[in-house]
Amino acid sequence: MSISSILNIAKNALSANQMAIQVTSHNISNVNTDGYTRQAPVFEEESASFVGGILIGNGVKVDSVIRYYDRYIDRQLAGKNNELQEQTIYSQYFERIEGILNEDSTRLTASITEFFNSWQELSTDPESIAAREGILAAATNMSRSINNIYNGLKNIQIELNNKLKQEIDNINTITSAIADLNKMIYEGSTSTSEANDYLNKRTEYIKELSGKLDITYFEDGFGRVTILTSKGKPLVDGGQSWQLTVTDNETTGFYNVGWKDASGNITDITSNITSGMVHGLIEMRDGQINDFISDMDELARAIIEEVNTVHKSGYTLNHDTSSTDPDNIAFFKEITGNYSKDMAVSDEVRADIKNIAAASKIDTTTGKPIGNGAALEIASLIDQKILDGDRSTIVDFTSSITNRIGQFTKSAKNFLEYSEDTMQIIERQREGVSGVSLDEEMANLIKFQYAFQAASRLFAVADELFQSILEAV
Amino acid sequence: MRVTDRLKYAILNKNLARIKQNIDVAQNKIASGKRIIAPSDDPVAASSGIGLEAEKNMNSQYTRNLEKLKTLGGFYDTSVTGIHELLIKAKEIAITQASSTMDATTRRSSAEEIKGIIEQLVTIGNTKVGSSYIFGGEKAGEIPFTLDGDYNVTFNGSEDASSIYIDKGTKEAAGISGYRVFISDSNIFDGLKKLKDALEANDASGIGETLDDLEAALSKTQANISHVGTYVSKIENYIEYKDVRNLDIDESLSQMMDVDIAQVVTEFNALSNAYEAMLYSMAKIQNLSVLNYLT
Repeated sequence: MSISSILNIAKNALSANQMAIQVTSHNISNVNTDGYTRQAPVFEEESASFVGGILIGNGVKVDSVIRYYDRYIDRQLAGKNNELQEQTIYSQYFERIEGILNEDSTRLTASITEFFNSWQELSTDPESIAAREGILAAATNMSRSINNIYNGLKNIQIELNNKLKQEIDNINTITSAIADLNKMIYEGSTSTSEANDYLNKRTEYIKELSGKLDITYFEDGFGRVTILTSKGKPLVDGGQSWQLTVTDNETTGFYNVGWKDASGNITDITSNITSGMVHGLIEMRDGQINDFISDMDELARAIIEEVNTVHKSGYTLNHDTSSTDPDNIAFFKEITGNYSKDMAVSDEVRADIKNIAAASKIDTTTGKPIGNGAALEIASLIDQKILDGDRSTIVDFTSSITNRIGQFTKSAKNFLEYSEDTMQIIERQREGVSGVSLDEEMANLIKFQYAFQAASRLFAVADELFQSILEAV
Repeated sequence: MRVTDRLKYAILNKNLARIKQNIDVAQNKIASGKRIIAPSDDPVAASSGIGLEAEKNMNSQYTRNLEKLKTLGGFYDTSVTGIHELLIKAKEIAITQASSTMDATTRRSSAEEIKGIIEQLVTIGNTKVGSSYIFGGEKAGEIPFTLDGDYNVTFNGSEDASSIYIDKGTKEAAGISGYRVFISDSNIFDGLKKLKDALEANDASGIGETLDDLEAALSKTQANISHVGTYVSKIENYIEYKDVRNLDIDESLSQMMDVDIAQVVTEFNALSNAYEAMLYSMAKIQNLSVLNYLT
């Protein structure tokens, strides 16, 4: 036992408390960092030594710096984020589709009824040129309204496709970052504090990755995490990561998701992704939007075909009186697909509105068209069940589209809110365990500061002891 | 449970955002006066709203059609009354000229008068409204009656009048064909032509014989006058019915779509109170920190 050992104890105590202050500062400065878990120094007695047969303590040391975290909460967070991100996509895009299909802005049903009304107008005055002008204007209006809806939906579909590619790139960035962190965690597992920060970052990345697609993951004995897609394709194993990539789907013209193995062969895993943001994007792009586009196609097809059938059997103002055959002029451009995209008034009618037929018969003596039969028949189409396999009228059909998008958007918003709420609950739990409380840190700071000051005092005491002895010499 | 600083702010942010969003929704409702701004606000009401709007839209066309028929009815009324007057005049001439006191001169000048009557009737028969001849039946584009030098009148129209929609699936004749008014049962023109010929031929008994024809024409015309009257009043009833129906639709639409201002304003006030309360409590909580006591 010597005075110098007091100095030694003082030195150890100083450095241990200094380290504790450093850990506290680290906590304080990360009070607002996402995914940060608070850290705390673990003090331990320095091993004692025998002095004159008595075991005497040798002061303090910092054994390690630990993270306050709950692995199960982190896992729950990652899982919940998977749901939250998917719901965010649905809510966001359904709301946009709703905007595109909103009658207030599209005036779809209104323009359709105006179109059929314009035929009634003609039926009251079958010879009228003005009524024909009205029909042309209403038909152009209606076609444009349908074209616009198609374009709006198609643009969203393209945007979803581009976003999918972006997300796949993001996934690759994340998986390679996780692989790097794995390496550093493995290498740094001896110096604890550094590894703590890597672990925080990795937990955050895993949460983000889980938001993108469904994954399973587990840690090995060295703290390295292995990540697989839920259908078992490895994404990260130790320091290695596998890339996802997009491939062109020839039939749809959109991207598929592929998984690249070590030798660069690509396996299609599009249908294996069953939740998360990527699944939301694919589902939206291939499912819901396509359904709405095909509804619009069906609507446009029915109008085009039904109107054309009647119109072609009618007699126009340009009817050749020497012929008894109907004029066979199509009112709408005759198309065989992409109805809502290409719906338009036929060139014949656009070039000469006298090519609009009002009559369905001709006078047997003069050969001139008489009556308003064709106009009446076209006008009556709005009341007829020409859609949904002859189960719905046009207005039934458009209002059911509105109902459907309304329901989808509403439930997507509700689900999102629910996901956000549950996410918030788990986040609170996590913050309860891992979050930094400034008040706590301040208390600790003061505690460590006093300890530091007391240890400094030891130096002074040891110094005085030395002085006394030296003076005695 | 530990409440950390980050959590405090996170909860504040989240709740502020939510209240602000709700305030925004309430404000939108107040500003637009509508309860449903997007279909998702109430999908079922939004979709039945579309159906009702469409019906209203179609009804406005039916009302236009009916108004047209009503105007047309006015023309028919004037025309048929005119025909009636002309026939009475012709009958008076026939009665006077059938008398043995009349001579060839008076009869010839009366024949001229009858010619005038025939011409006037043809003019009535060729009445045009818009681009259609109202007595042409379905052949609205062709002149219905043509008169030759010998005062023979040919009918070029169709026997039936065309019809138009006055309601969903309900058609109504768009007027009366000239065939019914002038030709069928008792041909007005033939009767007058016979009278004219008899007058020119100074044939007193022949003139007397035409009286029966004229009588038949008159009674047919009287029947047509009452037919037109019934037709017009039927149309008017329909118009009234449509007006009532439109009011019903407006009322349903308003109930479905319009906002209850009192309710939304109350909601709005509650929300702004909550917002203020939250800011207030946050300001208070912010001061609760150990930092305030460290110097």
